[in-house]
Amino acid sequence: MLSDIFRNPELKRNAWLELKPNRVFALLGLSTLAFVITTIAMVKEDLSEYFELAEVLMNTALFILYLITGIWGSKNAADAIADEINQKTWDRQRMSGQSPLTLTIGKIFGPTLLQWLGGLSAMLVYFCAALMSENVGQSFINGLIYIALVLLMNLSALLFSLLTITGSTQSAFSHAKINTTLFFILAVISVGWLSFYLALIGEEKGAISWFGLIWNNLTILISLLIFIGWSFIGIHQNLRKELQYRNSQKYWLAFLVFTGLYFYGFTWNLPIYLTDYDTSYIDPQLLGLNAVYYHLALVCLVFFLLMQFLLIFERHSENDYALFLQALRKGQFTKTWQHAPLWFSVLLGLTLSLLLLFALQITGLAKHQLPHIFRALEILQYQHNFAWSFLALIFLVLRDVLMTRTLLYRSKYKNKILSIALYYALIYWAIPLLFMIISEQNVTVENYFLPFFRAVGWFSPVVLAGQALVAWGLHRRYLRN
Amino acid sequence: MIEIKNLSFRFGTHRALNELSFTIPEGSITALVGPNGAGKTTLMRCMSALAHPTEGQVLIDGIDSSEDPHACHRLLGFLADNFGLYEELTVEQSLAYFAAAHQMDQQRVEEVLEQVNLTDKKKEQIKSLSRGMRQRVGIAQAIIHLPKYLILDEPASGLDPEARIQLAELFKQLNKAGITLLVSSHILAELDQYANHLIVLKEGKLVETDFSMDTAAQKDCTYFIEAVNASLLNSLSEPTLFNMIANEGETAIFSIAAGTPPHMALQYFLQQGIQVRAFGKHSVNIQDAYLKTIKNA
Repeated sequence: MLSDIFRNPELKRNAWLELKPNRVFALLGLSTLAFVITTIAMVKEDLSEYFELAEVLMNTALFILYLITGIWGSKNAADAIADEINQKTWDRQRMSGQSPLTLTIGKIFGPTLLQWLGGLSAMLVYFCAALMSENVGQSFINGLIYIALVLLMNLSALLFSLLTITGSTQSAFSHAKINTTLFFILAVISVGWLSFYLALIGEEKGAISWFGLIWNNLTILISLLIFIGWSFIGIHQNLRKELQYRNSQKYWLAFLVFTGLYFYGFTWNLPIYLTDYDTSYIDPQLLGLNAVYYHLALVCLVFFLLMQFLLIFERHSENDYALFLQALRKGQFTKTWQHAPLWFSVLLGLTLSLLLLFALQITGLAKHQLPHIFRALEILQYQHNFAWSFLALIFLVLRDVLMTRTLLYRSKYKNKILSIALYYALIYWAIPLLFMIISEQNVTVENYFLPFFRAVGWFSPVVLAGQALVAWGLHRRYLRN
Repeated sequence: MIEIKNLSFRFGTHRALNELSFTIPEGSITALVGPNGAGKTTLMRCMSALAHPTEGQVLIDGIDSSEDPHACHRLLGFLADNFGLYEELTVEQSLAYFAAAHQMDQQRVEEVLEQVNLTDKKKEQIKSLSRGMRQRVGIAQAIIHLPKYLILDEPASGLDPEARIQLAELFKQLNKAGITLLVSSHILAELDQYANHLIVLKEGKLVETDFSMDTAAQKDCTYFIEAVNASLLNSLSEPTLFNMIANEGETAIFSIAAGTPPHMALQYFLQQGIQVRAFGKHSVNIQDAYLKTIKNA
């Protein structure tokens, strides 16, 4: 296995390109300079204890790791395949005899070789300094957490860009250059935000409960490693597709089930609101069907957001759509899954979760109101017309599916992502806000900026009819053939 | 043999390829021609198992490219119009990379370098090479895994006349070495130098195929004669000396057995009382054939 990694053609190629002596020495020299400068600066402040010096060195090492491996490395990771496409070398790689696993390892670590060399050499200093720190064990785990975070950042950048790239190369006739800056920014922001959040958890012990388990540094590390594993599988599956292997979406479905279970853990100790969001507050453990109800609400929300993300970023090729619809019409189950876009499985999952959610509502088995975070789903509280509410949600989702698909594939706008952003701003912010103002609701500052969380009015018959009309029109225009 | 059966490819509602069916015989050099937007690149990508056809099949030696693209990739080499080169690598590094990717040994790199006549350039960075040389690196990359078929999209575009002649020679050499070539090009005169089979596409449809061009050997023994007294020419019975291919109006086209001196044929016509206006070698010109085909389509 290890010898296979060293024989990896992609790693070798990148080593020829990246690990040139002048670049390596310049990088290591700069890192050393950063350590020297920060140490001298801190020594002036009269470090009384040697563990304070250790702290300074550790923080500098983390800064270098974030800057070089995290940010620079993620940019390279996002560009790993986009650059190949832009330079027209990707087809040659797609036709080469490399296995998806070889290519996955090559594409993750190849373009980031220099950055990992810089980051890991800084972390070597970190671990040496950790030996002098107050809590050696904790510092070691923290170091590993940050390495895992930076790796996750790299993997996310590559995965996000692949979501867009895979569809484009399957079509492969677009001469437009692929720009991955957006995916790089997305990865840095999302994983950077996660690091910030984790740092807060580290300070406030017991801040997160998951299936009743209070999170500590070790559980955070394990959780990160699991998501690294999923990201790796995601990249591998995308590259399999690029290499013309057939994917059955089984890993994707497994990921969705995992996501459902994973997020279930966070609803374990959520407070229950009996009548009003602010007044009647009780905090028992959720039991029985109420727990399922809460969980389903959270899954719906996660699936809904995931689907929106995929709708925007997943570029399923036109030809794949044609093959997908063809197989769907003919009832060819296996082929349908082979050519289905990822959002399709999420849509099915969402529909199923919503159906169960409504079933619990209708039967009256779950009696409590939704927690604050699910206010967008307060449509569920319209107890007297479940069918209507269910249809409204399905049409809402379909409208987004068709609108994003149209804007991505059919519109003549140059900046398609911007046009989609405008659409989302209109549909999830401007229109709800308008409805709130018309209905003279108490428009607070919070509601001004997040009217989505107050789903008033926009499920009204008029809006619903409009959504149905849009869905029908787009279906007629684009999907009938 | 490459077989294309009812091949269609769609971009949304637009059909880039429309139910194409044809065969490329083994050992041929096939020219793929057609106006811009005819679907040549799409067809080549489908044939190279880089794009999945919406309908139909591409069979490479009987292997369906949709069912087993990897087996097809082992049999195929593909050179896109832009060559697809790693500019920063040296020629040797680039070939070593693709050799490793195809699980070929280093010895193969030396062989290919020699085959495309680049041995003396192997230590040079690709970006420092001329377009003609870069083209050779591209071909070397495409044949590193000893493919049986080589598909080339606009290989001569941007090359100077000398480089084009050298490229034509290289194609003939590769063909002699047993590689079947499919070449798309806009430069029809250049295709005429090496192609012996023609496929014409227009708006995703097949306009002409199975149109065998004269091979170099055939070109050497096919002649034409133009006569003033056409009726006498047309009434000639077929002599044993040569095969009459066409005999209409004032022109007759015929082939003579290899090694037979052409003046004997001319002597025969003169003996029959034909008043010769012109006599010479005849070859089917791709440019004429293409224009005629497109015009009739």
